[in-house]
Amino acid sequence: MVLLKDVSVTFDNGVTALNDVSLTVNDGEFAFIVGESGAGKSTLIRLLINEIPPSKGRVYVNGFELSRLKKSKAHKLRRSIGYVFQDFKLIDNMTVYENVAFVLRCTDATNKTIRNRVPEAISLVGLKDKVKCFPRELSGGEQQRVAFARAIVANPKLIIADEPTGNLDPRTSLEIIELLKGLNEKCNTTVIMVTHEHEFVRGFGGRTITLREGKVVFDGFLNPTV
Amino acid sequence: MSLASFCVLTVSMLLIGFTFLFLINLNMMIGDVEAQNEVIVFLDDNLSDTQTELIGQEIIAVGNVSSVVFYSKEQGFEDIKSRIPNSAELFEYIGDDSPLPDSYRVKIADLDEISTALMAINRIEGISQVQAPTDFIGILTSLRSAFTVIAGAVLAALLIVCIIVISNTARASVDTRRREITIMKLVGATNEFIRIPFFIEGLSMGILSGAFSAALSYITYNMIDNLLTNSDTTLFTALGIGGLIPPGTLALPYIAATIGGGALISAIVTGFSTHKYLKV
Repeated sequence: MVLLKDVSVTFDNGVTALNDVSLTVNDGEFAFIVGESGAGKSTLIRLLINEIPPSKGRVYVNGFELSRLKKSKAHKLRRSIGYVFQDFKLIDNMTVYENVAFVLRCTDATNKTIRNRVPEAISLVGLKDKVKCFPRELSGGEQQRVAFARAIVANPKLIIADEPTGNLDPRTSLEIIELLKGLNEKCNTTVIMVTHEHEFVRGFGGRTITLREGKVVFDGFLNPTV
Repeated sequence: MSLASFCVLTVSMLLIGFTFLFLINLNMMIGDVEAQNEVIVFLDDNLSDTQTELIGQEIIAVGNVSSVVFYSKEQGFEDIKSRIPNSAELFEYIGDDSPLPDSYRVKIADLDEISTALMAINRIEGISQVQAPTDFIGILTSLRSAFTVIAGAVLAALLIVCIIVISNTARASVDTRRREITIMKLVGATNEFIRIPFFIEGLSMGILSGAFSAALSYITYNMIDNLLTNSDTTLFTALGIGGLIPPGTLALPYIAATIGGGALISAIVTGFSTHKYLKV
């Protein structure tokens, strides 16, 4: 579960990126966070993954209260989150299998766990026949699928997808969101997808939180139009 | 680990090794020369054997004295005769009776403190004169102090070079793997997990550079030693110095210290640098 209570973030230069934000995303929920550039989306993500502290208020993620979480314990929080980047951030000299296994290696998983979980995660994103490919041999959509496999392989409670469709064409973007929806339904994983594409989200429907100038201006359910 | 960093580190450690070898050899040579210098304490005439012996004990009691040897007036005269050959006429004129007084030949343990010892000896009753090569000893001690300061400065400068090279290598290494580090951070790798590869890389560079520079400097030292010991007449033999410290004696501690030193510096600097640049 993600819970923000009266959270504000003001940077050293005096800019307030988030202003008295309160919101809750329950376990197993799928939520879009939308807003234009400068609305506070990136700050919100950085807050959730404990990269920056709140200037005011309290943040709870997967049972961790972030203002009380020591830096040396931040890895425990991050192991409960699967993170998907806009630019995929795959390691070029590693195959699909190695990229996905890399997450488990970083978290001291056993070889047996790696052997079991990695093929499972790759199958789930539909890239079973591409395990030996390198990122450069894959399309943008396929690369993003690898990033999803990497995000889910450690069985996280929460997936944060930061503009995952930002670099993809509309059709592939739709496939990616379908994939996220599928993961959310199959594995009951909480998903927070951050995007600036208002129209796209409007078409898709569901829980939508709109940020503008650091404030939540809308938090509700939209009916799908596509 | 870049080849350039490895080379700079090896050369720096090589220079540190040479400076160190130079310094310990210089210290040993100065020690040799110092050991050959002695203070001559001339005694008053007409002292009884008991009084002479008492003076010897008082000299020992002064402290900072490594040996006290009695030289009778006869021994002293014979010594002079043997040192000035072809002077039979002169000694015939002087006669058989020694014109010299009895004396003690005293060796001082710590030449830096010779003046204190001389003052104390001068105060002993029954001593007519004290002759000490204070000027020469002064030159030697200031020479040693000067070289110690210069070598210290050189070592400090080279150590700084090593620290900068290792730190920059760690920084470059972190920069080239920034993407990997970001992913590691976000998937929940511990700080230690992220830092350990950089630490091992730094440590390996230190050990390799240390081993390489130790081997190079040891081979060079051996060659210099061979060159000096195989010459018939060297500056060292002319000065009465035994030569360089034998390479065999130095080998193990020197190589161990160089490799260990390289590893230790690298480990410490890489540890600090990765902590600073990783910001995990």
